[in-house]
Amino acid sequence: MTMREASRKHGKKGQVEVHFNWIFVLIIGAVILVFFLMVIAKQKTVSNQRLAADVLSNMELILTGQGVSVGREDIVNIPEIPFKFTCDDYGMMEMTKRTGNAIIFAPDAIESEQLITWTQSWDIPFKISNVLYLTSPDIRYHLIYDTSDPEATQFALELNESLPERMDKVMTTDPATIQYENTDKVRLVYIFFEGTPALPPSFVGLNDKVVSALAIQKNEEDVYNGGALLAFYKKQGNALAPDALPAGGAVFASLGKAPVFGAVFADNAEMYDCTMRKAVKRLKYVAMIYTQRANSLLAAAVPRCATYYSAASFTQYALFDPDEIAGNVISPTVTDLFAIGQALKNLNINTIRASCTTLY
Amino acid sequence: MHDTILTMNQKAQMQMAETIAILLVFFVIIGLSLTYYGAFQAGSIREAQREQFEKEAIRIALVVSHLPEVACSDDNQITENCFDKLKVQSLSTLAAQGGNEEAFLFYQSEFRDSKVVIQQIFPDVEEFVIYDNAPAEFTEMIPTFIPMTIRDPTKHLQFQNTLGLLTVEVYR
Repeated sequence: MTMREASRKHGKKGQVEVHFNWIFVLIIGAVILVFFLMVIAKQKTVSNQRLAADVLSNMELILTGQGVSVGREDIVNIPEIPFKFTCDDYGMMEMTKRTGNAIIFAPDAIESEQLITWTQSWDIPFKISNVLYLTSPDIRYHLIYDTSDPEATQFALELNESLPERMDKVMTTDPATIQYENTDKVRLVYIFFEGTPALPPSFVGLNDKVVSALAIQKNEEDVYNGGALLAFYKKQGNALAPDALPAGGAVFASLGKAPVFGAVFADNAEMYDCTMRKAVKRLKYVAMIYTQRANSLLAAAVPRCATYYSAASFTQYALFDPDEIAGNVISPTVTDLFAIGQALKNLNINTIRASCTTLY
Repeated sequence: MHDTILTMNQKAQMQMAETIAILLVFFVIIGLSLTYYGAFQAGSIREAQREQFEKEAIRIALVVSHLPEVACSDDNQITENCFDKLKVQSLSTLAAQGGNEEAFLFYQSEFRDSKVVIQQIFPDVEEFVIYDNAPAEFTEMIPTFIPMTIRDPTKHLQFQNTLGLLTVEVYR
């Protein structure tokens, strides 16, 4: 090998070596970069999940705290991550928490920095449970009524007065004039309207999930206590259609003030139906407890009081089937429920008058 | 010339070995850091779980202390921190394991793995277990004690109220 040949060969080898070094550095650099990118991505997911878990764990305590104090209305600051609700649980991202037996009425999703919480008691006539309502200031509620109907006007005014102050609620007389004002969701509450309510023209182009409606149809005098039907509607294209349950039916009997308020907050029939079933289940157990209590009071009562304890008909509540109450139009069961309630109320007043221990 | 080429080859090999050694050290450092970070994370997860468990214990105690099923009421007006003895007796039969299975499951979804005991401590001593789902084996238990009034409506007004203690034990 001549000096020239050796030098050329050596030059080529040097070039290959330099190239190889660069390729090697590039590959290793890429591997390291990908590794760190993966660690960062994983870390981001983990930290989001941890945030969601922290928020949910605090929310559980907050909601429990809110749920025990009747009449309380509060604003809770939350991160603006979609907060999803079903009848059995609520959650953020992949994390969920069970609601247990808590009776919570809420829209199926809230994406806001603020959560409005409100608590009421469900009494028929004795206390069954506290009911917790959740919404956000980014959901607008239109209470639609006909001014020519004095009963509807009065009910709308009462409902507006009763619902939380900080809720975005608007009294409306003509649904055709309602304008969409970029709120996250819109809930239309038609008061004492007959037939399928019409969708306001300004909502036609909106996503179907943004708009939902409730029609409170009056049947009898006492609207809250069995005297009305609560019909759920959902937006379907350019009209409102009944929000039917998988088993059929989208109309419920009004079972007291708290459930009627619940129908305003729950934006779909399934959520309302499932929550009411839980509530009716609790009603059964509370009634069983009151039945035994009345029997114990009867056993220890003086004759003056015994009459009231023996007449107390809590047992009939315990025999109610949740299926007959929720998910049904006004049935004899619902009428019975309020008739028994009225009888118990009278008995309770009589126990007070007779200086006996009250029934409830 | 041949010697020069050989020396250069050796140099290149040494450079290569050096690079690989640096990479090895780098990955060892990364590995050690990840192991340390993993251990640290495991510790913080355990801490978060413990915090979660404590919150769960508070939640259950809060729910039990405001349970409408056992609260004292007079014309539907609820008295805070007071349990009606007759209602407590009823609930202890209703929610007991082996009693009404449906009712037990209903309360289990609320009280989970816990034991709820109401004791009347003065003037008479009496105990009611209103819910018992304590697991046979557990790693930790948080007890919460809340003093309560126990009211017996069958007694004369003057002797109706007694001193009681609500004990909620939450297990995991």
